[in-house]
Amino acid sequence: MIDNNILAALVVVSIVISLGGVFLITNMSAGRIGMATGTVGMQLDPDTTITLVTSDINFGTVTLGQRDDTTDGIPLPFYIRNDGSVAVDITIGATDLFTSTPNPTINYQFMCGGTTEMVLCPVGSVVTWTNMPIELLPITVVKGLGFGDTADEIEIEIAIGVPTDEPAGNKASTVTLTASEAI
Amino acid sequence: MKGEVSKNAITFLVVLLLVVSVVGVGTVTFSLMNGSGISNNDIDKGTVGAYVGEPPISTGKGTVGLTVST
Repeated sequence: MIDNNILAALVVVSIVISLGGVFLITNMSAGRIGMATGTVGMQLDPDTTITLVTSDINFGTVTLGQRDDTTDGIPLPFYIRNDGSVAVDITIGATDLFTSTPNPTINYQFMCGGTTEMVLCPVGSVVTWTNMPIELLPITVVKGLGFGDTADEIEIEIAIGVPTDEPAGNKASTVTLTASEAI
Repeated sequence: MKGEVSKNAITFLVVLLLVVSVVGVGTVTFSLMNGSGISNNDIDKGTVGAYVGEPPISTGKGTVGLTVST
């Protein structure tokens, strides 16, 4: 049979090793283990979709030298809604309307106009009559149109003045409105 | 005496405890000394962002028309 003293010694040695081990591991682990925090994020791609609620403007029959515009609602101006997820800048450019006076000309002009939703155009927009540029050199007509449903609609007013030497007949111009994320 | 644990059994358990302690402490100590496990170098955070490509654009077409009378 094992002696009681030896048994007691083994118990003491076991306790010493256990406590010593815990102490040793605790010291060695200092700075090596701990709690770290991190960040989980996501990014929605910007959507710059605009919709031309009113896309066709027809001034009807006009006479030489006559001027007309859309500010009185006859005919209705271009009506644009930002259906995207970011504020957008909108540029405008168009093909020639008159054969006798190609763009840009005082006979074919544009400007930003307010709506019942947005009485005033965003700051930085073109709010005075400006000669319509060609498509290759567009001008920013609306600056920073928001995307919230309560303030995302704006008008583009158009003015025409028939040159006195313009040949009679039907006239048409294609207007290109391009929206990109506001800078 | 019946119902009591014999001294041999206690001795066996004590020796077993001793062996387990030595092996356990030794293994963990060896792992830490060799750099395995979690170290400060493994814990880091940061953000690198980039936007590649052209920003999306949307284009709408409209028309302006009229008829010039003679």
